[in-house]
Amino acid sequence: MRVSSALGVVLVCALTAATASAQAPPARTAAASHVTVELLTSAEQPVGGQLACGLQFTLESGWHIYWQNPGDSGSPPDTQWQLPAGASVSPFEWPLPERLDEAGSVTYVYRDRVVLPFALTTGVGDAAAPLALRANVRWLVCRDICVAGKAALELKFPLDEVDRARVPEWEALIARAKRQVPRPAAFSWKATARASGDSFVVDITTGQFEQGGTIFPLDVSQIDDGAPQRRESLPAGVRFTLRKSQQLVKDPATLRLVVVLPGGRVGIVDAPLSR
Amino acid sequence: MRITSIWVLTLALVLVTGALTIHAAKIGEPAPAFTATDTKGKTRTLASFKGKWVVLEWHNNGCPYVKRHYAGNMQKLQQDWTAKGVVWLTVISSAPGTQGYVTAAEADAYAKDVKATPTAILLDPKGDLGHLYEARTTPHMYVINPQGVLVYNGAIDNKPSTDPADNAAASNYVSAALREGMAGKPITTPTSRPYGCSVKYAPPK
Repeated sequence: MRVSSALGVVLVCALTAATASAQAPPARTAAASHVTVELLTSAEQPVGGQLACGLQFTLESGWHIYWQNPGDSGSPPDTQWQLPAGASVSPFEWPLPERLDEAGSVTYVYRDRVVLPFALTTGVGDAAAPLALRANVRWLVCRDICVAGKAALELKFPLDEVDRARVPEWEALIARAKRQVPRPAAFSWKATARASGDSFVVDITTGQFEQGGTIFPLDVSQIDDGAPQRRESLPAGVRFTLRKSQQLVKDPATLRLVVVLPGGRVGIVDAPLSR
Repeated sequence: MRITSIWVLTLALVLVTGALTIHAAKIGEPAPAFTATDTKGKTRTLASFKGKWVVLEWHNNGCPYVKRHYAGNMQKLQQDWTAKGVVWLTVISSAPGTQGYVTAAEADAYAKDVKATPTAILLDPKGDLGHLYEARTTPHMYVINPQGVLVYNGAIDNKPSTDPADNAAASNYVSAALREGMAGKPITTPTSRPYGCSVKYAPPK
């Protein structure tokens, strides 16, 4: 009796060890250090071969992941897809991040929760046909320290009953994330830029007096992320003086910038650089 | 009189703002002079290395990107290049209480443990050297030529990841800069976006 229970313990330990060391089978959701990652769908099945989906990161308090341009350090999440023949996914859309200033080091980050929307095209006529979407996701999650993580996710159609019940909630999350993705600025906004010594001077003309604002550069290594963004109100807009990146050797033809103005006005501008 | 004083004021302003926006570590210009203390308590200055190629490597032993390169890649670079007479300086700018902060003895014990062989490990807990060079990440790499001119500033290679499996396919920018520089050729990639963890500087006072 005693011997058999000891043997039982050994057996259970061996089994536990085997389970822990084996790669978890891909699931719709994966819990990792400081973050839970999951695939969301906006509908129970593709409609007309199309489906709006999302990759969601739910972060522990204090931790963050990175925007498409991470800023001074860090890396955006990276995904490799395994899709059925004929199917494809769009690149992620990136909701507006937060500008995080830590001891003069500036990064563009998401905290708490973020959904990166993407579009699935099935390439299959039959909407009800079984379909599996696999994603090998790698990310960097940081607080004062950084931890690299990875997970294999799978979104399978038809969904099971539990997941079907959650579709309305996911649809709302994906829709909200899409509303937070910066879009090209209104036609009434004009952007111009010029190089001035070690800085770029960018004028955003909106037709009204602007007080303040923030720039999020879409491309890496053009603007020095850690440098303060100097702002000056213009009668019909705002002027930003942005220090050039130390990694910039040659001025680009155009600066692609997300401009955020007071009142939650957000737009992407292409500011051609005058010579 | 009035006009003159306005002119002087304007000129002074231009000079001040000009001075503030000068890049600390700019490619093709003299690398910023520094004085720092290594783990043996020895004072090291950039000037003392004149006539030699110098590599600066920003380091934090807890950072997953640094760990990737210390799976063997960084040690090999240190060994290969110091054997060719290059001065390799590993710099630790983590502030006390932050990730990667080590005492001199701890830094030496770590180097021995992982078989790292830099010329010296510079301790920069106040972040003076890091801020002077505007080091952003670990690793962040700089190459200075024998004339004291900065010829490379950026990432260690073209694979911004924490996965050692990426080392094989990576193209190393530091080795390329040293090879081209020593051959008297222009450096193909003089800068790149440094990738990695942020440098764990002390908060500004």
